[in-house]
Amino acid sequence: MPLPMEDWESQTDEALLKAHLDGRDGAFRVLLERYRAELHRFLTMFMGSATAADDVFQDTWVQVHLSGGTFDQERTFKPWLFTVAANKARDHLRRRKRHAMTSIDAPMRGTDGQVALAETLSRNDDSPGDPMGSYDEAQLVKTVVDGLPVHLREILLLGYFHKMPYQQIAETLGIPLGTVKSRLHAAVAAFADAWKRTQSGQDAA
Amino acid sequence: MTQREPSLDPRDAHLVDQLVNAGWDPSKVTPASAQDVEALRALARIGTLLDQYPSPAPDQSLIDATLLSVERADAERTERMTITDAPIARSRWRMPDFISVAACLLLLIGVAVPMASQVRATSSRALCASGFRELGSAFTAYSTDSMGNLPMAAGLGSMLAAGPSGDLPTSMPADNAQAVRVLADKGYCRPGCLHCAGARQLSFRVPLHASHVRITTLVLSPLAADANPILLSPKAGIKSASPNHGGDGQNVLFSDGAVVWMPLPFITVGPERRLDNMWTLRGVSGTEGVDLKGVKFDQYEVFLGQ
Repeated sequence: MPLPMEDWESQTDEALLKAHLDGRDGAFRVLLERYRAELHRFLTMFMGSATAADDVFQDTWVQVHLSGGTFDQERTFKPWLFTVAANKARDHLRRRKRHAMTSIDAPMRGTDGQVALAETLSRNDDSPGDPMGSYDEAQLVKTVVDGLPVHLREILLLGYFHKMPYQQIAETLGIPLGTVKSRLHAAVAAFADAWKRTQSGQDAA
Repeated sequence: MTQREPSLDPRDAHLVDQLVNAGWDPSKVTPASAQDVEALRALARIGTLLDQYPSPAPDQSLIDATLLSVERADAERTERMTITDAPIARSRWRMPDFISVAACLLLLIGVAVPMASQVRATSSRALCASGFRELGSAFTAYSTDSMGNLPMAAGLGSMLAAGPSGDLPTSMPADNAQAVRVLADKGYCRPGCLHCAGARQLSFRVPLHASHVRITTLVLSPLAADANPILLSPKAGIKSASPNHGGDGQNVLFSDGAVVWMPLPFITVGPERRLDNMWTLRGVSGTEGVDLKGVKFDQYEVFLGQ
């Protein structure tokens, strides 16, 4: 029996996708709205640009529409959606030939590549910045995150920003659980290291 | 050189794992030591920093644009499927298709077969002409060695073989073609020089009023030619060309060694109503023949009269 229009909001992602594939109007728009902010934020951070994220956002949903028939209704929609989005984002990045990354992932000096968080972000660094400086700090955060290698950035996005558990990240990216863990550790370490270096640079200036 | 990725201190890594399981809420993670407390503070600070990442929320227009993109992709897919399906729908073999293909095939055959035939005929004529030139050289060489005589049989009635004394066996050859064969036997030309590719046979001049054919007495006179139609088919031959090359004409070897392709048969009736059954161009000297009516010739006999 067809669902009335007013019931769309209460439907699960999977039910909305199925309704859309069955040719029911309105279901797809609700699904898009549901993930508009979250997916766009993910893509903005992945691509390092809100404009590029707009393009990939559209490509992602076009792909969801075209490949929806292959989606296993027994599975969860969200990891599949982010898998499609991550693949599209990687394709775009590849086309932009932005493989060359900064040397943020260089090992820490004298630590055999191992980072101790407490030493990296000191107590003093924990102090909130002044209101005028928050914009600069946000830009600095963007610079550091955008400078992370893609495979670390995507793990950080899914793990921290989307609060996905390890298992869901593994499903989304199609990589082993152990790799997810080690990459997230590396991503946290790379960010902390890079952040410390930006702070050192500012202090020196 | 590939640089190693940074890694966390094992205790910090363990804390990150706990934090992930706690949904990145540091308050839900219990530190085991003072060092863990510091690490958790650092992780909380990292979270605070990451939260500052500027990410403007997309407006409603992005949703509208996305839905339009989906519709467009759908239309393109439908169009592609229509194009893909079209040949399948027409793949049934229908009568008009059959007729078209049959007509094309017939047209092709109608053009290709005559062309192939024409090429084959031209090639055959050229090969025969080449053989005739070699034969002409052989005649010349033979006559030089034989006091100007040629090896043809002489005398229509006697069927006597010609040739220098002692060159031919005392038992005379049965026909002129056999007499001429001495050219190949004596090495004046290749063994195959008396045969023409694609031709039934050759004809040679026969001196009707002399015991020998002497090359020095011949002026622009035929020595040999393709098969004589009048000898192969007396009824039709009088009006037809040599059958060797599809009735298109015949190669003629003249006494000066020239080989000429003569497309038109020529029969003349001289003042004495003698018939020339040699198919030559009008005006070639020495082509007046004798009346062959009622005379039975072996088809290998020479056809030219003098």
